[in-house]
Amino acid sequence: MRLSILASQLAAFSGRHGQNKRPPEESRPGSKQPKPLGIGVSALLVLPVAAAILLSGSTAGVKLILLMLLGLLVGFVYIVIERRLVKYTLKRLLGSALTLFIIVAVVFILLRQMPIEGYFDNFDKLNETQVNVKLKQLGLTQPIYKQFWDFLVKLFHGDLGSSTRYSAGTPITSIIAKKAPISIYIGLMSMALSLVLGIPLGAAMARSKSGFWDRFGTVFIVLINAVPAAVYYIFIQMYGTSWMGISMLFDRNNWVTWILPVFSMSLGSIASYAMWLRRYMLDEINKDYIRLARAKGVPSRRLMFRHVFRNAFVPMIQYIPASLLYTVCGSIYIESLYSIPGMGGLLVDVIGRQDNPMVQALVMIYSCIGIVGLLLGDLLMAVIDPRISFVKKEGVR
Amino acid sequence: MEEPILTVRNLNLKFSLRGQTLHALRDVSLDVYKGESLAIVGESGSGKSVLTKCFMGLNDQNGFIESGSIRYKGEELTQFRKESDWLRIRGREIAMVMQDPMTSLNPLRTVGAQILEAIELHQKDLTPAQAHRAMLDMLSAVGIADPEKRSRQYPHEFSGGMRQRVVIAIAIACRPNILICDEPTTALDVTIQAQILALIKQLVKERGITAIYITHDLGVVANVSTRIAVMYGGDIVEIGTSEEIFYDPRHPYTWALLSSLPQLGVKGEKLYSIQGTQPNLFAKVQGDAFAPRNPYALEIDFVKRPPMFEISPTHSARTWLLDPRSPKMEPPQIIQKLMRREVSLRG
Amino acid sequence: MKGPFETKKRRLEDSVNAAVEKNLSREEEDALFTPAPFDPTAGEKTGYSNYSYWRSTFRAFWHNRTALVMLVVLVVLVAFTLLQPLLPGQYEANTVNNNPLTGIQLQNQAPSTTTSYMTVPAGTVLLGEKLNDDWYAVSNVASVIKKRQKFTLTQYGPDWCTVEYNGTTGYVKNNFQTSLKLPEDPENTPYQSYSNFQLQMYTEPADMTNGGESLYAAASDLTPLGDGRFETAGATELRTMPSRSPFLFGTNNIGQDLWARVWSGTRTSLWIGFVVAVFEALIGIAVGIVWGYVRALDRLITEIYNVIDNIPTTIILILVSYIMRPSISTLIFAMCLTRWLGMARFIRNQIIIIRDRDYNLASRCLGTEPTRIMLRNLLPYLVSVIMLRMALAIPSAIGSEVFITYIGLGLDVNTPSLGNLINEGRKLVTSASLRYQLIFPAIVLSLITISFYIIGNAFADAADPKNHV
Repeated sequence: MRLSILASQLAAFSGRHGQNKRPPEESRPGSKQPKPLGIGVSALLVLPVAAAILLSGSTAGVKLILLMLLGLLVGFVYIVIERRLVKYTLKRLLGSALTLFIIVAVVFILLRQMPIEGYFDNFDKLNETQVNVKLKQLGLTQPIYKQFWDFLVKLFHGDLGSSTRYSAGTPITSIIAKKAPISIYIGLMSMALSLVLGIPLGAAMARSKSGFWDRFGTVFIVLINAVPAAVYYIFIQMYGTSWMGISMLFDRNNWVTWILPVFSMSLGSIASYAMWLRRYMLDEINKDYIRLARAKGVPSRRLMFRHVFRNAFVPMIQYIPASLLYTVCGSIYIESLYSIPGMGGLLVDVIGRQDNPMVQALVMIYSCIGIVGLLLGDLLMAVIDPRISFVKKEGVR
Repeated sequence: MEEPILTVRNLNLKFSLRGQTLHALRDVSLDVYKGESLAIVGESGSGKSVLTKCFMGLNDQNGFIESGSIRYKGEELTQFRKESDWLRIRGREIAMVMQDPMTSLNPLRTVGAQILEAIELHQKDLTPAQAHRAMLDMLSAVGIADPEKRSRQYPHEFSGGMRQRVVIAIAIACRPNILICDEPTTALDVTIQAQILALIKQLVKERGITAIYITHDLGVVANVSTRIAVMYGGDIVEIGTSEEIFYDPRHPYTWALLSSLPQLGVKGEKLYSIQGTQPNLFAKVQGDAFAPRNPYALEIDFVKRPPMFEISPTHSARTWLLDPRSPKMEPPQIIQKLMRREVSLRG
Repeated sequence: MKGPFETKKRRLEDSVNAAVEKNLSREEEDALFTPAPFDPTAGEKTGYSNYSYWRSTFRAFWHNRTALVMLVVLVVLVAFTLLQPLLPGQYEANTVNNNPLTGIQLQNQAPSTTTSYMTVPAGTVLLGEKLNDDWYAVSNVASVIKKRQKFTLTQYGPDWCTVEYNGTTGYVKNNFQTSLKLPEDPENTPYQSYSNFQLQMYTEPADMTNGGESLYAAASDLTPLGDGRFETAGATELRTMPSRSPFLFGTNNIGQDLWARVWSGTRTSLWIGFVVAVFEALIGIAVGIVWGYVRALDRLITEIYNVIDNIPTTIILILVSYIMRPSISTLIFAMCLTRWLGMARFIRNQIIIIRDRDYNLASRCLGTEPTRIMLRNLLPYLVSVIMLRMALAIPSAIGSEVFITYIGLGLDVNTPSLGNLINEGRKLVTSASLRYQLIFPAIVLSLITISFYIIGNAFADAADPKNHV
């Protein structure tokens, strides 16, 4: 079965090529071009290095990562200015900030509508006066705009409030600081794994159209996309742990228990990397410039890597910042299945305990990460693809 | 004329499409001589592109050569199976200029890098600096000013005509013996077309390259070619020198093609156009493929395929009209005028 | 696909043609050198004009064997799901099944194709107790020897011993559990023995009980012999339940029939998926049309679109489910909240294409009416994409339902859905013998989602004119 059509239609729908996200069109003949792909590739190289350093767990390593990120940022800003993308960048930044504000406001207001039990760790034992005193103490009796303003002010000081039920009285930021690193480790490892497996799979599928790899990959992609993740995660846990003869629960100090969570988490991204790369590569293969390159005598291996793969990979780079940032959120399924003390499991926990401030904080963090990820992806794309500030994309947009 | 450098004999090529077979080339024979400019003329779908792609092994996977031979420099191209065989031919011996310059350059690599790639592939003895120098020379040879700066730009910063010049530079940079120009001017503005044709003509002449033009535009042909092959329905129906084709055409299809040239139209008269569409090559073609659209068709055209009749050593045509048994047919008025050379083609 | 017949036929045609060409004699040939009548329309006949969009779509789909198989699977599954409650002998999804005698829940019964526990031959004498008109509780336990009772062992054997107790004679199992003590001289029977715990005395050396509990036999199979004894008329099945319907998928941990729950859950999940798909199409098309047609609103809707599209869908799903009370409508609402976006965008783009694409412009310039452009140029593409999106909405809505249930915000267990069945099953994975409670719903769920996915894609492939060569 051919997935290409699905993919093309999905591409038409995917909001990533949003209408107003397109950079301005201006023609600048003669301006110097930086090597765009070099930047993309070096940005990618940071990933495994960062993962390795994080795993070593030294503070010097963390500083090194920050330094690298700073370097990337400086390079990024340089290119933005150099390629005259400043206006576009500012516009996108502003738009994202606005979206963020709307989301924070909506989430805040919605959660005020929740039953007040969620603000107490011992609601049943309290009488009405005690409840009112506590509510007043929390500032919940004030008008909602006032509450929101206070919340924003606190937010700018890096204070997300305190947990009420999950771990009563603990500042949410410190809970997150404790939970996030493990999610990031696992996330980065699974992302590295999915890049390492997904991209060769996609390339192999594109090369052997309707050959073994294409069939294998198609079956794999169909299974992963069609079957709900919960189902195959549970089955992997069930049979994987008994096959490997290990406990179903995660143990930070036992590396064997890392394998299954990381592997299951990467399956979805392996499938999507493979699917998109295959589609993009097949798109490229049919283009005229590939025919011309073949006609000028470029050997097919070189053609695949230097032309087809490189060009097909560019649109995929767009999704990498978002994937990187999402590692902070962890995987809800994986972390609760294996009892990993990370961010994904945390969300399920606080929902189960109806800890309103925690739910609010986590939901906000999750959506912010989504927005920032998309923003970075679009900016990276604008920087990497020399055409983007120039050519009007044809077709459905 | 001297020995041909490329010989095609009885080439049959088919495509399999969803269980059906399309007979794209039907028993084609052709000689290409060194240093000449051969034009292959025909409607789209007549098989002219497919034929030239056979020379480079560039046809799609579902196309297969059923029988026949293509010989180039003593090598039998139809026997090539491995990619490494074709790599000896592609670019190095035969290079190609494609139709649409807007899409035939890699959008994510600089123009310079793309020319450099061709140079590096085919002139391996050059040092990087020499190769770079050669690339810049190539750019100026195709008439691009300020090559140093332009080589660092991306294709989208070039206009259509400029891009076609780059494509030509890439093809020439391979130092081929044969240059195939697949409708090199179709996608360009009319004002640019003549420039590009002149450029190709000049480069080909300077470097002693054999040129094969593929086109449906007889105007282009008149400008550049020394010999013309007319293709119809996957077969060459008439072949001869430019003079012979233009001033002594014998095949009714060639008559029809020439009659539909606007340059030859008579003021006040309706311009001739060929009725109908090309034959369905999925079905078996019986007799002469052009017969159903041919007002001069004989009964035998529907039954038996005509042989190639030789008119002169350089001119032959595949039509029963040349058979001595055929009744005398008067070509259309315009063609008769052409034969008397009363009409100038190059006006 | 070309069958051998087609090949043969073609070969035949070829040879006939060849014969015709070769066998033309000189004279025949000469006769043909006459001008043929010119038919200006003859040239057109050779063209490729017998094209019909829907026929080609159908043909392309028909050639996709995998999709056809999946289509059959899906149709059978959906039909069965809908018909299942009407079939005879089905349990209620939410009924807790108890053993009618003991009142104990029939929990965690392993899957079985029948409730028959064993079959006894004709003429077996059983002790029975009437349960209702149709069913008797039967066993061959003559009496129960309580703990610390004296009884006489008349015959000692390795598996069964004959005993006398309270004036009745019967058989007692001698296995590792009962482990009747061997006297010093085994030949010296009968001898007095002593029960360390409760023993069952059977009427014959065969255990016709379910671990000591009574089994059930149909009244029609039994011939009463008086004082509670019955003789079997023919070979008789003794059942664990006074019912012929088996627990095909076993029972769950409170004795509900998993088979009934799986199909009931499939109905719920399919319903959710279907409603979400319909709403997605309706809202999406409506918004898309407004978005595309009303130019003044384009900017505004685009901004709204960008805001919503920027938030991860999962988060919206979680947030809405958290705030609202868990129910089917909450789930549907939460899913619809984001799903219409893609469809609206697609419709809007199509409308803009109607305005701007060259072939439609050309069509308009030729004086084609807008309705005809819509029907001819646009509708086929539109319908195929809407169908694809709806087909894919169903598995993805089912997946979202599983997710929401998983994090504890989904439907409660009294409304079985594939999501909460899987979630219930998941809690039991540590015990290998109970995994069937996860595996059955998981298989049904996967079959449904995979078939929708494959069919949707195959249809989209088939509907693409590029594949209609």
